[in-house]
Amino acid sequence: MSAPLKFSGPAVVVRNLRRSYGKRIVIDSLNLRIERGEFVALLGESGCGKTTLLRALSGLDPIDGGSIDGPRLPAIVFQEPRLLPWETLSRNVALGLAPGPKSHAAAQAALAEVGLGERLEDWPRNLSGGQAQRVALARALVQEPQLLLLDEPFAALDALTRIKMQRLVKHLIERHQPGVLLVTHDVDEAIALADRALIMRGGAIAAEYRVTEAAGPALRETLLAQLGVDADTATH
Amino acid sequence: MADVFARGASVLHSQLDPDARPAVAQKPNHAGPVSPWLRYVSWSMPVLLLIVWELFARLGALSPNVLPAPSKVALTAFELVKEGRLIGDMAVSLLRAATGFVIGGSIGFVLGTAVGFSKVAEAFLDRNIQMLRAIPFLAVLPLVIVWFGVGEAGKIFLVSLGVMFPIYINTVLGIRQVDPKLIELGRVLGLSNWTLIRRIVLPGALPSVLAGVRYALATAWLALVVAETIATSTGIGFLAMDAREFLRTDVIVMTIVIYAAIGVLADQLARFLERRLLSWHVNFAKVSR
Repeated sequence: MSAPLKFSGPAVVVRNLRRSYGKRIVIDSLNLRIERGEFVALLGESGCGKTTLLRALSGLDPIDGGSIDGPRLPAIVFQEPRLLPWETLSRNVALGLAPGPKSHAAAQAALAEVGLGERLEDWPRNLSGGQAQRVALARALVQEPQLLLLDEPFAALDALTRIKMQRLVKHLIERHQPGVLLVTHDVDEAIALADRALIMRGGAIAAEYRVTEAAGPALRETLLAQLGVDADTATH
Repeated sequence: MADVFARGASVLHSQLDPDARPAVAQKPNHAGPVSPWLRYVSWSMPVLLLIVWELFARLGALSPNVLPAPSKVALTAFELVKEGRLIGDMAVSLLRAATGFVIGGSIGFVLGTAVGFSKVAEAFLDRNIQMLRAIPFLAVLPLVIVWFGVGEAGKIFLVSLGVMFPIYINTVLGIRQVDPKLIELGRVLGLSNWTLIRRIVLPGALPSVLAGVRYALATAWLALVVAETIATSTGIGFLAMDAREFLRTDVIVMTIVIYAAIGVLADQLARFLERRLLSWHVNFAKVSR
């Protein structure tokens, strides 16, 4: 099965991306292509440039070389929900939309999709961590994004909530079909969610693996090894 | 002033840091739970004070020239209202305070917003404002009398001056302390600058601005008392000064009570505003203070 049959065109194409802070080059000659409907996980040790890449893709930071062909404003879900505490949930979700009755209806639908349809007029302070992150997800999906960036969105959640969130995200993404780039530290999360796993090292993509049912356990060991975790110590 | 700073900072801090929420919500009441009995005592003590005062005055232990009985003060107030004087004078005083508050508050808020947002505005304005702020605003009173005489303008000017600085400082502080992560979110969502200001920056600064408003109300009132006492021909302060000529301590005490009462009401108004406008806020949500 080759990818182009399943997907309907690229969500983003990155060519020879370079990004440096002063003399320190953080991203160097990075190439990346994500198709619409494709779920890509980006793994790497701390400081390998994952966050820098995400910020460049989101348009928050300028780039020093190369090109990014993609939406000017991809949707993004951060590690923290970043809800405006002074606005109701429906207004939070509709924040990026042009105001009007249409955007309210869209926000309502998006909140219903993440299971919070009854709490349109509630305040963020009344939400648990997992619920707040679901609102952040609704705020991203309501934009019908071509590209969705997920910056360790499950890292701050407890184990059970994380599993529920991962299932919800997988379900919603299958439905909305954006191209997804998930930055994570969690190899199991990458295997559970992604079509493709990338290892980033030294500011470039060092390795790439297709995630399939069959590849499961062996892929896990490979990915861990790529991240510097020895197979023997990892299992003990 | 330091108190205002600390308060603004703590309010904002708790708003920004989600992890701080439970800690803030459970912030212990330092006095501990007050038993109904102690509550009863705390309310009955002022009443007792009034009764003792009344008794001493009636028994002649307190000369009426020093401190008239509370009942005499109340009676005087009643008579003045009947003569049609008191209400008019109160209205004049309140109008002065309100006008000065609106003018000074608007200037402080606009300058504070500009300096809070823009490093350029800060470079142009902030040092001068801080310099002026160092002057105790009541010290300019002789100058105000020279400039404006005893008319309305001088009093309104003095009130504005007293109100401007607390609002300015708290607005700058509030804007500076808006969570940069929320501003980043606004950028990612493609919000225009104006929408960003309206929906993220100003609401984020609001707790601090309102703390400034509350402090400024007290300053406004102080400025008015001083201005009215020095040079005036109408208003509560005039009543007091006029009464001094005739040693009418009952009228003087009455004006003091009125000043106090309106001060308390202004503070209540500010708290009410906080509860209404900050109903989203953990600290103001269900706490009646």
